[in-house]
Amino acid sequence: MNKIKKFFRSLVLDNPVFGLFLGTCSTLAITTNLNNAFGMGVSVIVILTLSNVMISAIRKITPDEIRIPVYIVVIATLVKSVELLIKAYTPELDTALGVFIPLIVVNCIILGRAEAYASKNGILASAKDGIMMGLAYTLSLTIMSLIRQIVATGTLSLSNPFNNVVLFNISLFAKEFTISMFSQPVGAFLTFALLAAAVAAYRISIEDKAKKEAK
Amino acid sequence: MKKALYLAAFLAIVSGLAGGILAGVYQLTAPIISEQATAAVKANLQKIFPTATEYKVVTFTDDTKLITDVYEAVGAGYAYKVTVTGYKDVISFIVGISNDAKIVGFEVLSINDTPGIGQRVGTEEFSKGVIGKGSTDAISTLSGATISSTAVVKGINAAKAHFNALKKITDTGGSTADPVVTVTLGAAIKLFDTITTTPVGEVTNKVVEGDITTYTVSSKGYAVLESEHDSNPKPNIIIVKIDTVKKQIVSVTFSEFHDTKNIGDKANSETFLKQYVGLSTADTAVSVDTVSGATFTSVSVNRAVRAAIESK
Repeated sequence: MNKIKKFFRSLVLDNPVFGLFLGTCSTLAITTNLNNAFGMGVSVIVILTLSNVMISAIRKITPDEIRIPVYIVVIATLVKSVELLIKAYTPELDTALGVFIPLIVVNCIILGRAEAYASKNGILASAKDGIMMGLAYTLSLTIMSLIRQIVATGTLSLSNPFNNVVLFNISLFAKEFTISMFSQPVGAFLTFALLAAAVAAYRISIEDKAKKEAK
Repeated sequence: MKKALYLAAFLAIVSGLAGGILAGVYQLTAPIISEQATAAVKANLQKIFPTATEYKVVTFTDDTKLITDVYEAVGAGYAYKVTVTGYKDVISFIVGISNDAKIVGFEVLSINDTPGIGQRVGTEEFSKGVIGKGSTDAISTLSGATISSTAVVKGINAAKAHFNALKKITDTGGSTADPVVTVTLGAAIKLFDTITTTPVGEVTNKVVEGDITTYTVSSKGYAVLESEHDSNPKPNIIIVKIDTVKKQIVSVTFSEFHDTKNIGDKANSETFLKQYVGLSTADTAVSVDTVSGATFTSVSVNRAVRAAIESK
């Protein structure tokens, strides 16, 4: 029980988007529907894990003064290679995720985790950190795009990124009651602010509890 | 000094390795990627011309620079890959014209415009107005998605022009048709309402022909009421015909319209104006529904009708 609670807390409080405010740019841009969220989430999990592992592997031989350029070269090479491989071997996945993969190079979660975690920890721990951070990022994207897609279109749909087959498409309410503004950047900021406030409130409530217990 | 050299060398080695890896991956994947790109185009062509079995790439010249590729589906028609500048990003699509000069297919390959607005050109709402048109027919833009749909229509026109030149067809149709305007009726308003501040119209002419009296009424529409941007605003001129024996409105029509195009002119539509036909001039409780999005102009019509009724 305690372990699950701990896992949940780290997912929410150490959440890269709403807890650490990393990678918010891509979050605001792509969370218009569930497909995008899952596509981007999966891409980030894969690339973040790989980059964490590689940077952790070369952490001992990397001179401290030039570590940032080295990280950037490693991340860019990784992203570009993955992009080319996806294009060549899974074209369906490419049509679904193609636009997001180059965005990952500039996603500061990757560089942030490389600098803050992978450069100081072992390979296995770094891989685990990459997966956890990627999952938390995916969770944030999913929640944001759930809200935005439902409010903006009144429907919820998801298709399999490997073959573009529609998995489900539910119409929740009539088109007349939708707020299409939510598919615009404005809606992204509003949703983001609400969720960030919720995470902050959760953090404060936990801290208050801890203080009371200390007394 | 030694340290600086070491750092430079380290970075050079890392970059060199990265470059080597990328070159290797590129070498490995480039042929597969280009093969897949052709396959994707072929699949789209197959959708447009299901009966064709052989495709040829056609060399072409295009002054508009919008057409990127032309394919001949042997025995069926021509397909044009067109790339135009949309609202946010380029929109690329394939349009197929069959040998009997009909547009038989329209497939959007990539679109990045605003979801729910510009992206409507990628939906059936737009394509149903394209497919089936002849190579000399005008294509309607989408009202509410003007920028994206105008760009696409421009691209389709380039394809049509190329096809017509190829087949020696003279194009007599217009290049752009008027947008499809949808009129939605909104709130009801009484003929003798007391809420509206718009002044009652002014009857400028009255012609009596038997039972029917025709009033020409000048009524202040949006152009006059909100005239900050117009130095010489003009009122709308509305013709109201009333049967004085039956005490019924026969017809209400616009003679001159001066309000905003594509907004106020929704009130100058059959849907709105036919509501007046047959209304009693004696009953003060009758009402009509205003056009939502064109309230000012709708009210100006209402005030004109009232002026005509009261002028007896």
